[in-house]
Order: sequence, then structure tokens, then C-alpha cells
Amino acid sequence: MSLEFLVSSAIGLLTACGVYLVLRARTFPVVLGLTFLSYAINLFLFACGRLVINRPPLFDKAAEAYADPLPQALVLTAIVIAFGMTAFVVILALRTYLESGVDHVDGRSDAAGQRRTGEPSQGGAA
Amino acid sequence: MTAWIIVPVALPALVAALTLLSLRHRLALSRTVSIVATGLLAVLSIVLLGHASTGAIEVYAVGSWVAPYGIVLVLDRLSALMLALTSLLALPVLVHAIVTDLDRRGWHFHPLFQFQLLGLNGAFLTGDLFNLFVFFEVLLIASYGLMLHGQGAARLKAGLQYVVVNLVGSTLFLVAVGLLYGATGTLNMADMAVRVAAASPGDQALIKAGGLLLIVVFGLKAALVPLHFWLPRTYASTSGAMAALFAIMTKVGAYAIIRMVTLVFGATAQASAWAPAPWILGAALLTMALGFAGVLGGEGGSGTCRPSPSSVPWGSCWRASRCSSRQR
Repeated sequence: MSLEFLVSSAIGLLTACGVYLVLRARTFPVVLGLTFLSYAINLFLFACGRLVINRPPLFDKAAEAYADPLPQALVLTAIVIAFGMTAFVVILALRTYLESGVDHVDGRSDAAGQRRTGEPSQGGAA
Repeated sequence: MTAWIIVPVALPALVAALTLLSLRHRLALSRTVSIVATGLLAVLSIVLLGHASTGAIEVYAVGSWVAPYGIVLVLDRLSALMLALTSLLALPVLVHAIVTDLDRRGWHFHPLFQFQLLGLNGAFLTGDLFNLFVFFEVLLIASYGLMLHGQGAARLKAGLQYVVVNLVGSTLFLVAVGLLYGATGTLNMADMAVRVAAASPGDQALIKAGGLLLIVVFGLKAALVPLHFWLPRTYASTSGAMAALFAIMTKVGAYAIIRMVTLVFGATAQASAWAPAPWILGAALLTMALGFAGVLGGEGGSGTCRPSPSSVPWGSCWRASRCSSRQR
């Protein structure tokens, strides 16, 4: 199997898992799904600079050719941002669950999810 | 004049760090610093608007790195106008928040507010696509904090939804940036316009896909109609002053649509020339209709200090519809 096939199928699989988990609409699977999606995106960004093997990204006297260093910098930024956001969304999801007792992303309780006449989603704020 | 372009980005960053690190227990002092900084920002943005209204386009290369390699900040009439709009909105919002003691209801209001301004100003000024993504993230992260400021179960529930939607949006933004970078080999917007105009036939489909995906992301931020479902609940459940400030956040999406479509996907863009235009026109008209229905039929539309949430997409759709009508 070629390198291209492995990388592209890995990206595809990660994205598929991510989309499936995000659509579960409960906070824990959603957080996992977002993590999968950000992994897929990191790989994808990496592949944007073309797949090359054993090439230095920065200056090297012996090198004949170089790998594209820019996608590597982009991936680094994307990793940092995704990591920070994951930490934030985990804390936010925990806080929401502890305060409202609901782990649905759209804030609906389980009973109201089955019959839409349940608890009003806005509480007293509307 | 050129060096002043960096100030709307640098000033809120410095003030945010100052109020966060050394003034966190001195509310009165951090209020003063925050007000003075926002006032200075308003004055500066008006001066910059006056300068840009002559038609001059100023480019500031950050760290003196030359244009296609380094990050540039660009000031033209549109970005100067948005800058002035932001700071002139931020000043009364900040005064309102202080007068109503909103900043007393939780921690770190002033640093978050300044970070929000940093993200907004940066997004309006940057001339680099990935830098635009970074400033989007800065303003979104600050907005999560401001949106949840004061807390309460209803606000937390709406906030979670808002955060998740925007995280998925940011993921799509990165996909679009990756596609465009892979096809053109640059992230500088002006350089990208040149490369798109000269792209080989084999790259046309990738560029078109990247461009349309970018418009989907900006449409999500601007709350264009099929992507607007996150907005009413988020803006309705946050505090009034913050909802007023967030009105400018949907404009960031509209601004980015105008900037990218007219600059990169304009008449020179071969196969992807004006590709997003028919979609934007339809979505903008629907948003406008829905926005009017929301304003006229909304429960809290008049008589309360809280702005009707549905009135917010109206403004952005007006801009988007102007954008697409300009392309005709």
C-alpha cells in the first residue's frame, strides 16, 4: 500500500468517526468527536505540503530538496488551539452537567427529548 | 502612519495582559484602564478611518518580513470602517457594563473584553488567511468567556451549544485553508488572488471547493440562514451589553466573505470566479426575511433593554446581500 493511500484513508476514517461522534449530541461523545476531527485536520494540513520522506524542513547543507515547513507550523498552531479548546469544552461540559443535570449539547433533558413538550429549554431567561 | 496599524492589535493585547496579571484585584483601576484604552482605540480608529478614506491602502509587515512570506496587516477603507465600527460600539458597551456592574458578576471581565477587541481588530486588519483563522479563534475564545459571564444554568446550556458549533466551524475553516494552501502554495490573501488567477486547470476544482468551504465557514460566523440556528439562543441568553457587542461578531463573518470573494474569488479567478455569489444572494435574502420576521414578531423586541436576537442577523445579511449584488 502506498503512503498516499494510508494517509488519506487514515484522514477519512478519523473524520468519519469524528462526525459520527459529534452527531451523538451528548457532551462526552461530542468532545471525543471534536478531538478526532482535530486529529484528522492536523493530518490533512500536514499532507497539504505534499508527502515527502527524509527531507529536512529547514536549511541543511547536505540536503538536495526540502519538505514544506509551513504546514508544520500551521499544524503546531492548530494543535495548540485545539488542545486549549478541548480543555475549555471539557470544563464547560462538566459545569453545565453539574448545574443543569443535562448532558445534551442542545440542553434538552431526556424526557423532553422524547416528547418535545417537556422542560422549557430556556429556563427563566427568555 | 503605517506603523499605527499594529496599535489596534497591540494595545488591547497589552491592556488585557496588564488587567489580567497586575490589576485583577483592583476593580476600580482596571475599569479606568479599560475605559481609557478603549477610548484611545476609538480615537485611533477614527484617525485611521480618516486616513484610509483618502483611498490610501497601508500595508504593515509584521517583524519586517516581506509580503508573501511574513504576515501583513492591511488597512483599506473597508477594514478602517469596520475598525471604527468596532471601537465605537465597544466604548458604550463597556460603559454600560461598568454602570450596570456587569463586570462585578464574575472574574476577568476586562481582560476578556480587551482580548475580544484584539481578536476583532486583528480579524479586520489581517491580510493573511491563516492569521485570520488565529484572530477568529482569539475573538471566539474571548467571546465564550464573555458570553458565559455571570453564569446561570440557561446561559451554560446555550454556551455549550455555541462553543461546539464554533469548534466544528473552526475545523472546517482549517480544511478550507489547507485546500487553498495545497492548491496555491500561499496564505497571503493578495498573493493568493494572483496565484488563483494563474492556477493550472488541474487545481481549479480544489480551489473552488476550498473557496466554497470558506464561505460556508464565514456564513456560519455571520449566521446566514441555513447556518443561523446557534445564534438566537446564544444571544438571547447572554447579558444585554454582551449581546450588543456580539453584534459585531457576525459582521466579522460578513466582512470575511466580502474580503475573500471580492479579492480572491473575483472576476480573475477562472473557474471559481464569483462561484459563491448565487449561494450568498439566496441565503442573504432568506436571512433578511427571517430577520425581519424575528424583529417584528419577537417577544422581547421592544420595551426591554435586551436587543432582539433576531435583529442581529439582519445587519449581516444586509452586508452579504450588498456583497453579492456588487458582483452582478
